[in-house]
Amino acid sequence: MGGDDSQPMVVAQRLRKVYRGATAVEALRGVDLEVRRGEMVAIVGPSGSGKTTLLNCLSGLDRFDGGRVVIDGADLTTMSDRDRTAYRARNMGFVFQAFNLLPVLTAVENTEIPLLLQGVPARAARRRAEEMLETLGLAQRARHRPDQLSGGEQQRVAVARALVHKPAVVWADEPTGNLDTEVTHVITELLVKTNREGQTIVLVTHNPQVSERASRVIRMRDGRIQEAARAGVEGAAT
Amino acid sequence: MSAWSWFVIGTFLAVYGVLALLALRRPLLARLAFREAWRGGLQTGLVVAGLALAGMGITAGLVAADSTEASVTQNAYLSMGEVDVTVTANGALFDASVADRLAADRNLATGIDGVQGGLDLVGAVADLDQRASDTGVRLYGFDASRQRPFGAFHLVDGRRTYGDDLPPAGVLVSRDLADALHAQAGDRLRISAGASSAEVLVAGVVKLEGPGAFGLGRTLFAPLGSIPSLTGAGNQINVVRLSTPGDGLAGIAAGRRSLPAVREAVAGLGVPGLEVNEAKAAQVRQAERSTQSARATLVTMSLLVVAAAATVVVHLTLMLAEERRRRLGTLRALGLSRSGLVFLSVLESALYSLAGAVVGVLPGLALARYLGPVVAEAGAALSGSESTGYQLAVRPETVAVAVSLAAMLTVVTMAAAALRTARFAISAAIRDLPEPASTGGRRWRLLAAGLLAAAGFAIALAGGGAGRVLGATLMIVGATWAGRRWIEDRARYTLAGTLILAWALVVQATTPLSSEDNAAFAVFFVGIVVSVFGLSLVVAANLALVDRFLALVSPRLGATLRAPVAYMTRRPLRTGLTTGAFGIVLAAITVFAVVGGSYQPDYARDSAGFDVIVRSAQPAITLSPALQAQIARAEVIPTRLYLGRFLAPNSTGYAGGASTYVPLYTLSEAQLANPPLHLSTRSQRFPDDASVWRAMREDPGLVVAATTHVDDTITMWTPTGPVHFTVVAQPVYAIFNGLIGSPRSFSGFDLAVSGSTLLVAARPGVDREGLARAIESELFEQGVTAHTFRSEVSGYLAAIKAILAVIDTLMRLGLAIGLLTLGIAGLRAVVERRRPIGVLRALGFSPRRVVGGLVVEAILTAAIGIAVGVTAGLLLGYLVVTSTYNREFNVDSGALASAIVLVLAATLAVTIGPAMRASRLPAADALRLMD
Repeated sequence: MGGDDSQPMVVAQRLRKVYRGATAVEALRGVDLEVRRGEMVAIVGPSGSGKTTLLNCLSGLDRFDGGRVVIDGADLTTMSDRDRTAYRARNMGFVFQAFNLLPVLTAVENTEIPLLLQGVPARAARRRAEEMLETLGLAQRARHRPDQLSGGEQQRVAVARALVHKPAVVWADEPTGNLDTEVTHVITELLVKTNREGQTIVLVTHNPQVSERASRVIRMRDGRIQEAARAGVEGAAT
Repeated sequence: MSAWSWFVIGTFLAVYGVLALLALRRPLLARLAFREAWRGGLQTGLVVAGLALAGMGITAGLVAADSTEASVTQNAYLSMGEVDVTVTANGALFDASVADRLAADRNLATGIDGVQGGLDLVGAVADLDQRASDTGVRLYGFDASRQRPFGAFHLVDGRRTYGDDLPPAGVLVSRDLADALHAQAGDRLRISAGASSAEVLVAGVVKLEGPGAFGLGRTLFAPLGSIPSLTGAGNQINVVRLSTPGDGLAGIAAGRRSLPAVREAVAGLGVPGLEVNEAKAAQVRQAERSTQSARATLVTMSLLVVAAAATVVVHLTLMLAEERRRRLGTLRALGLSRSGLVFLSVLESALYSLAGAVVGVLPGLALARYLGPVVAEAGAALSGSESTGYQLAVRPETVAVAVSLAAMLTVVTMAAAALRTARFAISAAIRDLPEPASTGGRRWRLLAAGLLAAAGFAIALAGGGAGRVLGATLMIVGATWAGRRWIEDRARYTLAGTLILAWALVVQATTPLSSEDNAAFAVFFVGIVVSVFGLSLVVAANLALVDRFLALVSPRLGATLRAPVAYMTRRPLRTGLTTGAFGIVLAAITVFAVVGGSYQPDYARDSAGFDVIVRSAQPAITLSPALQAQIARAEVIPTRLYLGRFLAPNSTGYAGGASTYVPLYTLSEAQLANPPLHLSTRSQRFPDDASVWRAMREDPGLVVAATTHVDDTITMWTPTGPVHFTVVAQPVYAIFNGLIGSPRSFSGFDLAVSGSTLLVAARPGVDREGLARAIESELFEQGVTAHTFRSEVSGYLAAIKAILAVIDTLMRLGLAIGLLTLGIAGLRAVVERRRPIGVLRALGFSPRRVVGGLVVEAILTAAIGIAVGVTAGLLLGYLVVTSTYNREFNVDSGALASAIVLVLAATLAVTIGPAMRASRLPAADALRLMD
């Protein structure tokens, strides 16, 4: 992380995304959004409202059909796929609903992937991954594969993988969607704690238990941002 | 149809019948299975193609074996013509009036069409006009006045003759003999048979039809009157030929019915020593036996291809089970039982298997048409006989067996795999979450492991060499399974794999290919599969080392390859199946590369220092001083040219039957002490070659034989009765194409034509080819032939190479199957790993890294398969060539390298496309969840 604190971390302007099939579906209809450095933003809304599509476009996972996305001053719109990939590797972390750990790798091996991709020497990468797992209370589970971990543990490993390389933004798509209430609480508190330490987090969720812990809630409907909730929260919504 | 065919076809019908019945009772599952197979598109095409290759292999193997047997049997009928029964005195001459008296016997009038006295000899023939000669020529003396019931000779110029219109001293020669001598009508020929000789004229060249097919090779047909010096002025014969009504099997049956009457008639003659032989039946029986080895080879190799194909289906099943886990979980949630799930998988794979087996039939027949003649030609060359053509024999029951085997083996294997894949946690499967760690089931595991071990023990007790290998393997697997809680996985698998490999090698070492054919080939087949399995276990258990190595080499490289390599190293079963498919096939290729490499000629050693081999049908070979001056050393081996009944249970060479030509090489005491030839295979009773020769000096019943397996018993007949020999070794190459024994071994064969063999070592600087030509030129009138060892060895090696090429062709089918496995795996990776690839892309993997990872994974998998197969093949090959063939270990590195390069190049080719497709997968699409 780093950069100018006065600059927003994420800027989306007139973002449009159309899924073309038998009938074209306009998933994002000109979304404008800013996320400030150190914010924890929850995007909520009914199914099909475009939450995940917005997250994918903001994070550079998906191409969009119109508008502009700038992350920490870098314009994703003008980047080639290759550059975007490299940018993601350096500056972004991801947490998914289904954990999406690689089933054949152990917890520590999953965690160290972003570091190895940046060329961090193997020993150093392993040490940092182990430290991260220890921070998240998973030191004893570092050598276990995903199928040997509980759902909560898997999601904590996913969080560790998202944070280990100190990204500018962490994107989380329904991070508690597969977890029970107790584990949801644990993961939510983990994200909140991380956010308090300065990590910018943008997450998509259906779960009020999660969204109410965010510094700002953005509600979506039919591909548009309907409102920015929570009193006193700064941000823009159209 | 044989019991085996009934069993295979019956089992196939039963299995598919049950599946069809279940499909009718559970139409929903049947519809699902059909749709899954139909929707598979390219993947279904590739699977069916792989299974079709297996079907092609097994069809080709079985049909080529049938065709070889049919061709050889047909040739046996052709060779015997109308001669069904013979009366001989086991090589001794007897009075020609015997034939007249039998012909006049009224009791034989109904069952016998024709009777004629004849002469059946082997000797040498020289064309005095063309100055060419040939030895080992069959001399067929016939009574022209009684030839009609035996058919007319068909001449190449279109004429037909019964021999009664030939000019005085006129004889007929077969086309092969005419070609060997460059003989033309009118040429003067000199026939030599021991001390006797005769001069005759070529009256015509006969086609391989009717009586002219006798001997199927280099044969001279002479009316008895044209060779008075060989027949005591026409009064002496050594065979009476009898013809019965009917051809083929009907002729054999008629011959058998006539035997009592013929025996009674012969007994009534009062001539001692006469024996009645079912000549045609014996010839046909021996022909059928002689193809057993070829059948065993072809079937074994085909089954290896099927084994490789079975791994494809299991691999696919595991992949599909993982890929379809979510919808299968939904089905389970909706009420589908676990057995229903197994049925679904089995039915789908049954559809693939049946389609593959049926599609493979026609290409299999085409391949058999190509392979068959090569086998027939090579077999003829190895046994020193002429190849007389090949007929493709497509028997409906054989095609049915091929389809049944190909369709059934994979289904049975698949059912076992489906039992495994049907076990999953429904809730985890529906949400596409990792499978929770299994708990409990320990008692069941121990019970199943115990049952497996017990079954293995029973198989080991009951099943001979192959059973010992398989049974012990099952016991080890059972013990390994049972010990899951007590010993760490890596140590357990490493130990189990090592034990399995070691045991397979021990059994292979103690069961040389020279023992009973089918049993030995069964050991070989099971040995290859089990060795590869054992070695694969060891490698799979230790693949984590690859991970560590990559991480040490480069972090970035490690990052790129970490996930793909982990897929390979941490799914040992699936990796093992792919490496196993390659391993089995490459092990077989390697074994035969070792056999081929070990058959590379070492002329100096294998010829025992001799350069030229001279053969004569006369007891002495006298060289002029001019020729002697070019010779450094010479050894004379007295050689009896036996022609008579010959029985050897597993003979792969001699035509066998009632009239078989076998040279008997008699080594003197001095030669037995210092033998002029090297041995190839020897009985395991003997630690070295010297002990073989020592034993032969002491026991006249022991012989060395070129084309009969060691430890077999040979029976031959002298006028005083049968003589039995035990084969203790085979000579290097089939240059000595008969039996080699001591003077006492062959002392009863005085009546056989007395010929000689001269081994010549040229002086330094003398041209070997020139010396051979000079010897032949100087002595051609005596019917002497002279060839360099090099030329004879080359011909023999060419035949060996031809057989190895047949095996290689079948194995390449297996390789193609292995490559299809990788292709399918690559295609499925795009689907099955859609989300992990999406994760990696999200985390910053570039498309190039995705491609690199998938390609490296495939190459590494193939490389491990290659390593496993080549290692197992080298170990087995070493045992085969050193213990079975007693040859130095050598590898035909060219053949092996070409197979390896082909595999790696093709792996790259079949993987790159799917990998590119995977790399183009948009990360968001791959990760997309329901909003």
